[in-house]
Amino acid sequence: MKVENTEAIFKFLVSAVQDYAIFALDPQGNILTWNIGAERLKGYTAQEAIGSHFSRFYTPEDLARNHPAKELEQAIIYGKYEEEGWRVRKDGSRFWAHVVITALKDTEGQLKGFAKVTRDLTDRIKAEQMRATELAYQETKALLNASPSFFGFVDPQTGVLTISNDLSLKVIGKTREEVFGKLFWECPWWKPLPESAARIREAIEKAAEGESSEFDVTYWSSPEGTPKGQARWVTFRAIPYRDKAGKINQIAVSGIDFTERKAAEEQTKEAIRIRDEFLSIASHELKTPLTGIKIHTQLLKRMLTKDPVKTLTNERISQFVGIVELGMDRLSRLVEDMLDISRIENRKLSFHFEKIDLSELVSETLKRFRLELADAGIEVITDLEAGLLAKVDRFRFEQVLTNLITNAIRYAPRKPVEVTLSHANKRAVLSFRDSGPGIDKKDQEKIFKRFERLISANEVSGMGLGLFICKQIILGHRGSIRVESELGQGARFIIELPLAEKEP
Amino acid sequence: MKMTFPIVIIDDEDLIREGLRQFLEWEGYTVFTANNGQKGLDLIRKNQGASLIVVDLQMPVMSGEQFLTALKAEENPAIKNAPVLLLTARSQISAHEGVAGIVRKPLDLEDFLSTVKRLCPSD
Repeated sequence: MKVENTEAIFKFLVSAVQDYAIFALDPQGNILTWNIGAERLKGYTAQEAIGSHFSRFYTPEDLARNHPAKELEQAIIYGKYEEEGWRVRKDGSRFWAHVVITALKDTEGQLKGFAKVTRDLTDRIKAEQMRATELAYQETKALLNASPSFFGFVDPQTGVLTISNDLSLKVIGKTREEVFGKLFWECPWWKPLPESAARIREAIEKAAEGESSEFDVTYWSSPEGTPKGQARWVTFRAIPYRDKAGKINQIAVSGIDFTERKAAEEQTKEAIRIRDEFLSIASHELKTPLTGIKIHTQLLKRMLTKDPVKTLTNERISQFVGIVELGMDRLSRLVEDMLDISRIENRKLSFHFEKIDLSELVSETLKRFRLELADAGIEVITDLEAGLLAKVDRFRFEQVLTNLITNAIRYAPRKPVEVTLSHANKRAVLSFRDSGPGIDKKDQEKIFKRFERLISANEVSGMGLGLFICKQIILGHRGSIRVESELGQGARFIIELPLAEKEP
Repeated sequence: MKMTFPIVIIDDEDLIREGLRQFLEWEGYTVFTANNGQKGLDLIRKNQGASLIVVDLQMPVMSGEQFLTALKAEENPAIKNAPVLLLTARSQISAHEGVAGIVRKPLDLEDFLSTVKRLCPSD
């Protein structure tokens, strides 16, 4: 092949290549040649390009750091310089270029110029970025679905929910198709709760104008398999998301359910309130017998020191000492009750069971209260089945009976009380019926709870521990206690205990 | 002749009420007692006045607070202007208008007596 021919073919080849910008520079970097590929890539015609300096293809940032000159230096030192970077087209747009600059030297090693080959890699970069975006999207989705919170996006223009994570869908038992594309505040989280829906709508409208919000609100939770659903608490956030141009193109919405924590907090608050109230009632209750004791000991002292002849009679002394004793008994009963409460709370209420004839125990206890009952004008009518044996802690069971008797004295004086003992289904049934004010249906569960008193402290004294302690004692006997009553109809307390085998 | 009104003690606790009555009688006072505010008020009306009223706050039927309100609504100045001592086991108690003093349970009889003497000097 003749040299002229090969040179001509080569020139033709270079000029015809479309996908590569191939051109030559003089030693200073001025453009000497220009091919179709260069024109396509850079947007300049050969006429515009030839004679100008090649630095015109560089970004202002690259020019500022004198990058074009450095590229040429590197090419001179190493013979070749290669890199990828942003270049600028004639219309100002950028493209990601792969660039190879080769220094051209003659046989003596004298620099004659440079050959520059540039390829547009923008499409590849775009594809890589898209892959990265897709990957990030999948990762984000996995992250959102693994999160214990609710997440979603709402379109700021329309207020429509465009996406949300699996958990947020699960709590309302809906599929994507059922909620995506709906107005967010009309979705099943908020729809049954008009106040919540209104707040959510307001938050979305604010977010569409660029204002974030965060507040606690109730949502409607109705996972699959729960026919009714329930209102639960969530900390809700709406945060506008802006694109590079500053336009709000998404509203990120999220929620963290804190229903359990709120319930626990409220329980704690309630427990503290009840305890405070108990302390105040307890100290009041303790002070009352204490006052009686103190007054009468001071009276005794006065009798001894002042005017002993007139006042110090045996009768009076024994009367006052009796009063002091009574007050002490009351004090120790109160203290015992409080200790029982603490035993129950620490699960240390212990029992010493023995086989006992229940009718005997009941009539003995009633006998002990004969005077108090008579004082209160209470007539006791009994019908006790003899020979019913049960394993009972005598002291504790008496405590229960005492409680029922003193309750009748306190709440239902001057009216008869009916005590019956029978058996059914291998259980002893003890019934204690008074004709007092009765207990409203809605309060009947309450009375067995700790510190509950239905009648206000102003009316009848007591700490509200009695029936709670009774119930714990009866439960310790594997028995049950309940009340049957209606307002104004008196109350009937029924205790059931498992019967013990009769001795052979 | 100057009319002497009795001291009226109103408390639902027998031990406290009767103890105080005994004590003040020994000190030479005429004492009437009642176990709730309503009975106390009836008693004061019957006597057309009281030289001192000692009243518990926490009582059935008519509490001390209700009693005070009812007392101030009376027309007879010997009733509505009678000095009142509040008797209470409450540790926190707000000030009551028109009340001459507050006695906290458990009370000391000597302190109680000096308060009583200050409010109704024996003749």
